[in-house]
Amino acid sequence: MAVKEKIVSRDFKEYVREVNPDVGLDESIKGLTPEKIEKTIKAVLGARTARIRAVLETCIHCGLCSKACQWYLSNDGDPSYAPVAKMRMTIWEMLKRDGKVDAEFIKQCARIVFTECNICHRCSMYCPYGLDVTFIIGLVRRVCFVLGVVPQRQMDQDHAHATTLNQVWLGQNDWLDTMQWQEEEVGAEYKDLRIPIDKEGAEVMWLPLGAEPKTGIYHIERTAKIMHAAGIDWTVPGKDVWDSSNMPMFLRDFATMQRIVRGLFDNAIRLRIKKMVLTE
Amino acid sequence: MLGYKELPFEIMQTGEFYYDLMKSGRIKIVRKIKDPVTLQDPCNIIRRAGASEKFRYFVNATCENFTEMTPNKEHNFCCNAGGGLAGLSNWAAHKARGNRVKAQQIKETGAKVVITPCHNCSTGIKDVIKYWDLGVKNVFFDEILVQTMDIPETLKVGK
Repeated sequence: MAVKEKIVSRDFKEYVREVNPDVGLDESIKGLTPEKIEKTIKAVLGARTARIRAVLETCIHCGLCSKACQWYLSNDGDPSYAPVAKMRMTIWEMLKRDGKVDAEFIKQCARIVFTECNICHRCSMYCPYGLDVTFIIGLVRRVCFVLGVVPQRQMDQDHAHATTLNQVWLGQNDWLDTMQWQEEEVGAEYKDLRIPIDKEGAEVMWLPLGAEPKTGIYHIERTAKIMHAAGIDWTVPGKDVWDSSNMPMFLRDFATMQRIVRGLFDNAIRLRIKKMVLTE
Repeated sequence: MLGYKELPFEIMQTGEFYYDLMKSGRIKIVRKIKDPVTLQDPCNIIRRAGASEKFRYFVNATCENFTEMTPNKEHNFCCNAGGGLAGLSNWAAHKARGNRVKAQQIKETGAKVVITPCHNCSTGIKDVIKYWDLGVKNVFFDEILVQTMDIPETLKVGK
């Protein structure tokens, strides 16, 4: 097997990784200027709120968080995977240099926060001070997102959400058509089986993951069977938003994130449902 | 945040909903999965929303042979597809390498089936199983329920 090409970080010698090409990172940094980067960092981190300071000024670098992270444990205790290192190599450096970092640095930050942290909150549980490490990771994600440096597939899902309010570019007609098709399909086996669309006053509103009507049809089939067997008065929304996933939340694209949640809540209010059941 | 002080409806994940259905007797379990199973705890639903006992009730009611991963519940490890990493298919090997502990956890349980209540976990666990060649199956919550629940004959066409 060929020896894989490695990259060594220019700023942090202990950060050694395999090359993993991604247009979203490699190409998008080409348009960045030092001014743009500095301006963005200052806009996001400029007003140092109590929440940011609570983490950055309380952390004593004890490293207890490292053993909480599956990335650190899975890579034979490589310290560059420790949660505290992820903060040190990104936000701390940005603040230390007062936002004067280059595009290559931003690319490395994006790789760390978008592909080496799952925002699983396990590190916060093992931190003796209970610091919200993932909040800091989220801030760095925000910086990278505003600069447009995000792995391509994640950015694509965010664009899908911004455009169609679901993560799989599914239009409203396709969504309705899929639901009706499934109603027919499963209804061939069961008496009076319905997938009620936009039923006002239903007890339960069920919201799938965007990928279910696109590639995971069997989930809809199973859900219809379960609801039918249990005799639930249920419905799915006929209008956007019906996708319960929220990629913009992970990217810290707050505008789109809020549109999705708002849309889900508006559907719930419009249909006067009692329970919102989400797959994600 | 969105202008509602108190929401006029409940919000729950499907796993919690299934728990309610079983607990209230609206769904009856008539069969049990015989294969040895284990359960992947989804970070956000367990660690942040506290549904761990409900999921255990679900698995114990539907499966005969359930072994916990260690650590579990609030101390579980992420599937490595959370936090928006699920869609990163061009980073799949990088992600699976970064979750060797999950592969070991699954191996140690000796289970043949890993039950996942969350779609992100499903993606992550599939990647881990494939990369580390674990030879186990990943099954979603709804599939377990459809296989084990009672569907009254009177509901079927032609009966």
